[in-house]
Amino acid sequence: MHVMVVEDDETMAATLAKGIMEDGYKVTSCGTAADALRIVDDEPPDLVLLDIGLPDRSGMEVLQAIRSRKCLTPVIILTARDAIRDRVKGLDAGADDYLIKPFAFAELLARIRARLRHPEVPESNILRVDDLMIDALNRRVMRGSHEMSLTGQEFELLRYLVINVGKTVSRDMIARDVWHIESRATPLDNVIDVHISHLRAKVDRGFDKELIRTVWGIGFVLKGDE
Amino acid sequence: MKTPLRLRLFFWLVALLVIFVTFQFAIFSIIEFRAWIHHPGETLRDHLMEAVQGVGWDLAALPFLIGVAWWISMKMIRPIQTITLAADNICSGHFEDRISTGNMPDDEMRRMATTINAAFDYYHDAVERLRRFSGDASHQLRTPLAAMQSVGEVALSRERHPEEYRQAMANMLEEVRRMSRVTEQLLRLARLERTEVQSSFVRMDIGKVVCRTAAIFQPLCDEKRVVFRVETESGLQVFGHEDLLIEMLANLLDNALRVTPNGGEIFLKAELESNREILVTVADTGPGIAPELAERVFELFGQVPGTRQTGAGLGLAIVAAIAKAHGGRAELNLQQTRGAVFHVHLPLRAGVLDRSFG
Repeated sequence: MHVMVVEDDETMAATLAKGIMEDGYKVTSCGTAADALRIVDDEPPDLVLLDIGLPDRSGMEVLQAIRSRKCLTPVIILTARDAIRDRVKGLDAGADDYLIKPFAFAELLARIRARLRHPEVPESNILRVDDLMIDALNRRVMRGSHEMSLTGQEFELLRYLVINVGKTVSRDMIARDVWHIESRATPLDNVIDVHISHLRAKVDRGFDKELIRTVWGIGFVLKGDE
Repeated sequence: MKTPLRLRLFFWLVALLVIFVTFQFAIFSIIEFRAWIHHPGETLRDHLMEAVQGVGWDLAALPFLIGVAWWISMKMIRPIQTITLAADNICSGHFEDRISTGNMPDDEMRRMATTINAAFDYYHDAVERLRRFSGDASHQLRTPLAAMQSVGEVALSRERHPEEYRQAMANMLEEVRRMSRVTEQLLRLARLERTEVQSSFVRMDIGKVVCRTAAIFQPLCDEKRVVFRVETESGLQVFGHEDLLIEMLANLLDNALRVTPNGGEIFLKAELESNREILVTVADTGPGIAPELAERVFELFGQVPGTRQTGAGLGLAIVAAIAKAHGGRAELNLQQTRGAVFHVHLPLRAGVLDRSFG
């Protein structure tokens, strides 16, 4: 899979390229609108990450140019501007997604995956990781033969970790997807940490293998056997 | 609203009619009374009946006249209603709309509409500027944050060679520096808004400030092989804060140096402009600034072309704010065909004048 990164900030561009490459994609990066359009013509990418504020032309024009070429490549806009007006403009111009800087890298990778994912079989109600089994329909959780009782919020959190098994999720992602709070100004980090520690006490304590792990400085991951 | 203006106008017109009829009746009565004195053959009653008949036609016409009064009051109030409706519409969110004055006669109403429109223009402009400011500020503060977060998270996402960690930390620190600079600049601007800054002003020689700033920038110019010409004269007294004035000149020189190509030239000059003003000029041989951008460059986050990569666009806003705090003004000289020429006018504080500040 080929991802094109259009970003004029050098540090940001290099870091994006490195992080995305390490997640298993081929990355081409460029810093100007002109280069971006040339790459789109020569070597059409499977996905475009587009910074809106470019030096020569606006990122929005690049987006319009890409769309006017009848090209359906998914485009994710990266921007520091979060006014509703800007978002609407971006999505109207044909962007598929909109990520506001600063963002958690895990979130960016999750969005890229979501955009490149092929239609899958519908998810089953029963999710399993290792000896952990959760039944989303009846809201039951089993570890081995031991059934445990979780609060509603703990259950939602665990289900979110299980759905993203093996992938690190950040506190921002949890806040948005589990607590449904978009604003990053809301102080939820401690709330999330407390729920994680409760969840660990119930899911992992007394078992040989720890399923929920902290990824230092980034977030949490639920992992079974490699 | 107690009584609508239209109803009051109508009552006044009706009152006027009543007064008119009463007045007429009084006149007729006096005339008939005098006729009765001269010809006492008829009774007073007959004479007064004539007076009543005299105003009788008026009374018959009264309903029609009241109708006319109603119509006039409506006609007079109509433009006010139109203007109010249009203004309400604008207030309720259609900030781009204006009261249409096209088919209004050139009278007080039209002038009122024009004045209200001007107020809306001003308000809309201020809101737009605020919107732009919050957009620009979030861009300038979030971009380095985004870089820091991504660099840190990518570095920590797996085991790495120590050299890679060192590189990541250096990159993050670079972003920290960039952000501190923007933060400091924003704080500086906020402080310059307050008037207390003037309490620390003393009388000083702008020539010395020019020389000190020039000495700071000389090595940079040498390194870039840019010719740096400095001219000043003696007796250029201003009332101000030395550090702020140095910061002002440094911002102008920093810009000039960034846009001037190797082998170019920068010119810094302080001179007496009139017996009341000092003129400080900073000129470069860079690409210059298009006249249509002249207004924009002194605004917050107004980027000077060619400096985008390195600055947040606050330097010239600070220059303008410092000049203003000193009772002066900063402007871009548009007559220039080659390079950009910035002028700062500062009030001269010579001899007796400074006593008023003591």
